[in-house]
Amino acid sequence: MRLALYNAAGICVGSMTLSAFGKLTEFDFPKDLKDLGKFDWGFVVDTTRCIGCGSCVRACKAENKVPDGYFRTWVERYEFDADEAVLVDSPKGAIESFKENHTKDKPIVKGFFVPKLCNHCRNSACTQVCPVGATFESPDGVVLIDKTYCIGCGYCVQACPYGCRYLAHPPGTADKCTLCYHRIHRGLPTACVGACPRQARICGNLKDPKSEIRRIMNERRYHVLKPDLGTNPKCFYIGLDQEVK
Amino acid sequence: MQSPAYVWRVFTVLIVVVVLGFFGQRLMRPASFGQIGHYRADSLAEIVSQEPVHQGKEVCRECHKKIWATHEKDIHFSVECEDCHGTADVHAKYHRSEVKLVSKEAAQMPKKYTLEGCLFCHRKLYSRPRTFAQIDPVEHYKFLGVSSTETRCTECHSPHEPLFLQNDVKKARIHPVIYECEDCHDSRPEKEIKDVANHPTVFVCRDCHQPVVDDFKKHEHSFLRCTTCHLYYRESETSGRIFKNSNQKFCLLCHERKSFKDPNQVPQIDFEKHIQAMAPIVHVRPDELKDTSMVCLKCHFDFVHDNRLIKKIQGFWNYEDGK
Amino acid sequence: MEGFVFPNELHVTWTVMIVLYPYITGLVAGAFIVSSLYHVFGITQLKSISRFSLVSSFAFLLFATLPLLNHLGHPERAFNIMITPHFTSAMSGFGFVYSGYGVIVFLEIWFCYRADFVRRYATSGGIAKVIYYILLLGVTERDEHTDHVDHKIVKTLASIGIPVALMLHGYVGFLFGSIKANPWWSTPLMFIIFIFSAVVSGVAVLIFLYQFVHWLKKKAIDQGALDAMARLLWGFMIVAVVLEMMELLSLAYEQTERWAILHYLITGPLWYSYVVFQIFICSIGPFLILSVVVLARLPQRLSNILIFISSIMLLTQVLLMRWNVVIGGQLVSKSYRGFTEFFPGILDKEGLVVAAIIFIVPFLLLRQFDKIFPFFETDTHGSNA
Repeated sequence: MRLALYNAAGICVGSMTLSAFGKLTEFDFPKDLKDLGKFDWGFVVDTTRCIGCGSCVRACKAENKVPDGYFRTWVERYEFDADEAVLVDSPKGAIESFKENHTKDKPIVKGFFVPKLCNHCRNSACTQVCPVGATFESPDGVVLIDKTYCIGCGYCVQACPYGCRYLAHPPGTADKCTLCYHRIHRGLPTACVGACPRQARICGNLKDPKSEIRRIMNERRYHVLKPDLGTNPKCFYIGLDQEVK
Repeated sequence: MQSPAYVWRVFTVLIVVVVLGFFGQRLMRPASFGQIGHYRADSLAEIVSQEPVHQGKEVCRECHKKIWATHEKDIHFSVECEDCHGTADVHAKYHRSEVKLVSKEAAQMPKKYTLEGCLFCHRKLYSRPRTFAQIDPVEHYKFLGVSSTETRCTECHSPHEPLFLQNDVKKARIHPVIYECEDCHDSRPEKEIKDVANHPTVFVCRDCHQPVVDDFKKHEHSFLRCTTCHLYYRESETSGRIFKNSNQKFCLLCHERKSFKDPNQVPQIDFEKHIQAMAPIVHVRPDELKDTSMVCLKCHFDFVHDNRLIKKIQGFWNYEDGK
Repeated sequence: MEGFVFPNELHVTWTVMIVLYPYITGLVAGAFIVSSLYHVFGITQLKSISRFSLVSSFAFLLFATLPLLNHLGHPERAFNIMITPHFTSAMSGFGFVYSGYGVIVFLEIWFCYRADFVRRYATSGGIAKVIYYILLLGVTERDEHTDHVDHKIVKTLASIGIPVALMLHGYVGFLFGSIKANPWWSTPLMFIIFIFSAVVSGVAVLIFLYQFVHWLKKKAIDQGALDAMARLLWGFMIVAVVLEMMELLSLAYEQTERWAILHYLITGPLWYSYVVFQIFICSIGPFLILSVVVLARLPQRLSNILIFISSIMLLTQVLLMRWNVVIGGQLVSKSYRGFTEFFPGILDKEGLVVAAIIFIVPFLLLRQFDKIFPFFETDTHGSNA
């Protein structure tokens, strides 16, 4: 009975949005949620290609109306001087890119940028600690937040090892990158992937052997952040340096 | 002995409260909770119903066909229209008549173009890959004799066709990886690679294009690198694409007269007037002269390097043996 | 900000309210343990303060959720935690443990004071008589048998209450200690540290109130009870401080990856609040004072003054410990490269004034409770169960 009610609601939602969009690609959110199991969304960040322009940060903010001072994604810069000392910065999350080199008094011998976002972990610490079941992993592998159910306790914000969650007042609920769930199920790229001029970000279905993400993972060597914590992240970094935490 | 009456009463009250609580919990539990996992299954559809804001290039194409084609052909094809112009959701909906109560002014694209906007990507930073086009604004303006640092990039550069390519950038000529001296050295070294013992093996232009490189060194533009004009874009670890910029628009980037450029630093012309003046001399109609590509090089080739040294075979470079 | 922190870490999510909450539940658990030491373990010196500790525990309990509700982004959805508890979360048990413990304490108080209510019902009139009738659930007699039953039930409830009280406060410690993402919080010892320091704060607040109220009313104290509490305070504080220092010692000795940044945390932002005040002044200080009080033969009056001072210092120590754990842990970045800053607002919704109000009101409530559940009267019928 409940399932029928849900399906009816799903059809209503689906058709309402189709009429609003008209020409956009077909809204193919499956009516039977079990079909979502065909997808397992993953993300690859190629740090060798990132130029730290911050287009992804600006696009994400515009797409998801991220409040000022909080970030669903950001870019960090690492500069190494000749003594192997490393300076890391991310001015306002790189939303206005970087104005100048950080290290001024010494020569820089190595430098690179690392975009960061929610890792959509398979064994996420955040979904484990939510006391009410407001944050969860969807059947297609995306960690999402139910904004109408979240009580705003902030436990998930503390539990995330990657610093990708925040609790803004308003709206008083936890928030984070949703992998543009509303876009990927319309066949659109996530806002950050679309905005990146360097193809430094790739999002795709890990279960599809023909997808670009699968091709990259089969060819390149990649790393995840903080593997020792057992969160089993699904955001894979190419060219990650050991100094990146 | 039996427990006194009040004990039974107390615990009865307690049990009633617990039972009421239990039923209350069942009533207040959201309908779709627990269907798939410990969450409201309805929230998935709610999250998906959020309206996308970024429209994507294909939507811009519906109306702005000409500029879209120009943009797609050149190196900024990977930069989304909305990256510079702002999000197009209101604009697209207004012009498709899908939304009411929005004025034309409100439906205008939000972002105005600024110098800072270009520098977000193209400012020279140590941490950026060396092969990515980047400038230090102060050095760049000094090189061109531009006096005001407020001068916008768009006074000289077109954001929709930065390279002024005739052919599609994605079909440009493939070329092996080119290394610049500054990839390893702090500044351009004085010695040549061949004059240094045990220099790591590096492909340089001269290894394949020796006659042209030797000729180039004798001319006025020899203070430039080959890749200043023959822009190289590194696509992967082993190869990239090279763009042969002989389009006059490219030459004019430096040589067009502009109010903010110092005429003593770089020789400058007013292109229209120059064409008008030259047309009778070369016996060609002015409009013909203006529209052909490589029009500057037809006369000024030996300021750069002698084109005639390059024997063109379709798609291949040529190489004179031994030299 | 110093060094590098992840952009979202500039904001500190758990503020003064979350410092106050474990402090209050610590007082709750600690006071209950003192009461149970008499009711379950029969430590007779504590008899005269057993009712007082029980009612104090209840008064603090009533205000324990207030800081949490104030902190929640959506307090109107607070019941979600009991409607759909997610049992993998340490926080999910809160609703049930809190209500369960509340029921136990209230029932224990009810059975403790039933005989008093019967007497008051008989001697009062008007509205008070009606209230007592409802409170007694209509059974308005007592005799030796009912007193005996009451006593047994109180003992049973006190026994069940001990683990529940420990869970009520212990889960907070576990909550912090199990957050693997935070280098300052993550330790298996956190659960036990919180419990022991909770008992310390509970005993300390009882000593403080006991001495303060008797001084105010110019009444004689039960010296035996006070000495027993002083010994308890001394013993529990030694265990609590040893555990806290062991945790620090193992971090400093093992020097794993997180030690570099934690070392900077301790010698930097937390130097005064942690090293100077919490450890030196408020841990070593009371330890020395109480050692002298317990081990040496001092004049009564001096001894009592020193006990009073130690109780205030230890109340401060436990509050500082909560502050250093909660706020300190959020100052350090999960990138292990820097710190953010935190200054509690004064008039903010989660600021110091609100915190002070939430903390003081239970004490005022306790004063009113004395009228309903008199805890310092000596009862001639011996129903001080």
